[in-house]
Amino acid sequence: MKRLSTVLSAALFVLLPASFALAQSAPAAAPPATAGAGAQGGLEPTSLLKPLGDNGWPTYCGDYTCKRYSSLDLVNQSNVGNLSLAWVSAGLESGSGPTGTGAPAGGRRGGFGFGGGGGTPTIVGGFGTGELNSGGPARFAGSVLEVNGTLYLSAPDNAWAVDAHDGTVLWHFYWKTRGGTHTGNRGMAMWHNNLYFEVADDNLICLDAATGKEKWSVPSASFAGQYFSDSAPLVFGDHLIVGAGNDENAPGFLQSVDPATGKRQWILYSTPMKQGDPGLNTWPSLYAAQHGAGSTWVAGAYDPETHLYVYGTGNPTPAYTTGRGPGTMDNLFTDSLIAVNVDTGKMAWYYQTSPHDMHDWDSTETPIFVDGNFNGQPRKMVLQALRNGYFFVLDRTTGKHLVTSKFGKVVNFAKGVNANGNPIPNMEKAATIPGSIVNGDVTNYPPPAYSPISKLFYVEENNSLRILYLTDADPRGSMGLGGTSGGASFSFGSNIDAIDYNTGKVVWRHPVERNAGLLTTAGNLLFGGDGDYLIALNPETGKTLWHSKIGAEGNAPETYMLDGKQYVLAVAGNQLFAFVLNQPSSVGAPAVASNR
Amino acid sequence: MLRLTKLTFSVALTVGLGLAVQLGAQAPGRGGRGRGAAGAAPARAARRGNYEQNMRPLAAPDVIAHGKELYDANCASCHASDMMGSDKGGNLVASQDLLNDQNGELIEPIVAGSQASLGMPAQTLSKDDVDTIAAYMHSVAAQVGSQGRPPGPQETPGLKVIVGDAVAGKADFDTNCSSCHSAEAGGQRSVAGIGAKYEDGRSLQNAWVSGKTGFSFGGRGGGGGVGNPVTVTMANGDTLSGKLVSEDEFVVVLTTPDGVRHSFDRHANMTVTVTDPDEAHKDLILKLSQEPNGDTVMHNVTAYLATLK
Repeated sequence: MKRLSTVLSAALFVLLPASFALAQSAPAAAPPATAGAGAQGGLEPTSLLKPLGDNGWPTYCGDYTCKRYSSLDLVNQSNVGNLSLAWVSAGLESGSGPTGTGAPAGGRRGGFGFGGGGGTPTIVGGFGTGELNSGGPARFAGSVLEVNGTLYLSAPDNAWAVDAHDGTVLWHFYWKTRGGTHTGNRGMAMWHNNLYFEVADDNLICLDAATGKEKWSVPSASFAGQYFSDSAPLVFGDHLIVGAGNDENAPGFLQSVDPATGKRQWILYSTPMKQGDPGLNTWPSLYAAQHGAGSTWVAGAYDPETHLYVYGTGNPTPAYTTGRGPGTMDNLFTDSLIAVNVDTGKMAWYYQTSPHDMHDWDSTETPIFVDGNFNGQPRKMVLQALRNGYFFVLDRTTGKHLVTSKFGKVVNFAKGVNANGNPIPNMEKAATIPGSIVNGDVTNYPPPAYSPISKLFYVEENNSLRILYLTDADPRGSMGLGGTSGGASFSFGSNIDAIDYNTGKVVWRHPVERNAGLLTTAGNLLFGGDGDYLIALNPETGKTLWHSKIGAEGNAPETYMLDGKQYVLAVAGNQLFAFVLNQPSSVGAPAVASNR
Repeated sequence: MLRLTKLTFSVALTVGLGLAVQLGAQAPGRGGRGRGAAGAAPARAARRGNYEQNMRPLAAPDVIAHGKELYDANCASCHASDMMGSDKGGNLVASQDLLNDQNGELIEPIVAGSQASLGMPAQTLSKDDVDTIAAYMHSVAAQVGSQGRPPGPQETPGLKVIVGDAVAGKADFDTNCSSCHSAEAGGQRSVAGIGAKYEDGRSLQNAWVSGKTGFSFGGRGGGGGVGNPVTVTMANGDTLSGKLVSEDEFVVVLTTPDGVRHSFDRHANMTVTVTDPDEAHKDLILKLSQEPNGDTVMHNVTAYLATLK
């Protein structure tokens, strides 16, 4: 752990100016000239301070701690066996073509000016022609917001509002893309009546939540610079936090914009950008640092007391050949947990979870805030389980290291950990020409969870080994994710793990085929995925209590309360599934009299 | 940053060796990798992205050719002939200045000395020449592959994958493999002739480590033993054997030798036994992964098997 008072952001407009200017000049919808939020209402930013429970699901994680623990307990261990389907949405379709109605492969949909199900109007935005939009079934791989009875969800280039009572699509927004890397979109943010989401061709879009109409869009990163934007924006008071990704040897950064206008408030680069910047001595050259990545594509957690936002940064680039030549260097602040003050954009502390990453460990996984006892003393902690197979506990106010443990069973890329708990990479386990046997990714973006009842941290664990070959022997290194080839591989199974933060030890493992994220509730339940099943487990033991086969999920299950019912929501493929404790009709709404 | 989406993938890059050698021969850079340059575009490069740089129109071929001449004369000594940089100058293919440039307007000030403090000295080149060089550089950067992969062939020609000690490898084979496999023609699960079966060391190594004639790409969970022999024992002691179709916590499906599909809701009194023919190979790779010299043992066995022509 180190404390930093210097900011990396001074280099601001050195590298990215032209693209931003170009992108700014292209669009149709410009941000409003004045910042005033005007008529407010909708989702008050102060309501986001509440713990997750009967206030819907208003942010990516549900609340600022990212525990994904809901205080709802109507569904609990005594009745979860009766959980049954309330509704399933029609398969939602992404737009393509100039109007969003271009028939995807197989011609699944007709109708002009309509799309996304049930004759709902499609609202079209974007600076492309629609030719590069692939269309077809929506790919859901992010969180769904639930605010005042409406669900808001996104897929690459597309967003929908859906009635949380019955799954009816209310509107569909479609963005004609200019291209770029279309990974999964992680979800939306809401501030008063504004909805925000990022699109792959590097725009931040503000929609009217009621109508889905575009209010404005601003460039979120340089599209020409080969960035792509897919993270879920986050609202902290009057700050809207926006992340970005880039695989082509560009600097990663996080920025804050004014939620009313999209105007940038600050930017914090993940790597040193000029002489004198902290961390520069951990790179072979300034040029390497300026092209060293550290993407910010997964949402983090926020402490409203300290105004610190804690998030993970991604791998350095080139991902598999960084720093070949001058020996191992840490490559700060890639693969690090960073605390930034959201008012100033200044880094308060950092802790590196994968120094000198040679495997695309990409340490962006969602951290979780826990207030509890550690070694008998009350602590404000941050917990994080990472793709490299290690689990960490830090003091979230100071960044002081408390626990490191290995939760991936076959992880072998590191020699061990140093006195500060940082993994020590074994350079013999980097990609080599004759091949090295090394572990694969242990987890990824699927959100972890924590239960204050069991005091356990829950995360997916994927165990695999493979032969990793170096195919680009250039001593200067390769570029991006290039330069390697994967060979023979074996899976050693996947699990949902429960981890005790005091020791870092895995308390139980529940075998699954794969999992897309987790949810805990005051009903003492743990919801997650097992291949094509949505499952509920006993959080203390890992025993299965309920299951339903709905298809492979794209993100963690969620829960919300509506008109006296607790809903459990899951996304699978391009469908939404809502489960409730169904009751006889006579117990539900009064019968509707018929005059016919 | 590899993400779990339908768009991320693993691609086997099999660059035609002859082409790669030819390209390598013309590259004087330190690595001798030979990135594809305009006029010598590789027949098989990485799948391209669809960014602005990949899609914008290129300058006329004669302009690009002239730009290459100017680049080679004025820039290549520091930035290398493939634009991938050297100790004296950065990688220009990955330069945000180049990617954001349209027609040389962002390159002109840099050539004029705007980044002198960063080590890029001013050059005496006319605006026209700088713009012509920029046109050439855009033609190279346009070939950048998906997820930032470099332009041109993705594999250095002539890589020596087989580096192990074949004599030590025979001993390692005897220790680790001979209980199941014979090296004699006609012996038990013989590996005789395996060295002739695979044309390169990587394929040979992948095949023997995985125990498959092909090899599987990395991933999660994977097939779950589909096709493996399975026996289901019912609560009453009846058994049914066949090939596994699918198995999870709730349902098991198998096909009996008569081709009939059987599906069972799993419950506590039922046992399902799947035989994994890869078990020994899994145990071996796990053992090697945890040993300090595990990779060396693997390389030695590969070197030995390569001698079994």
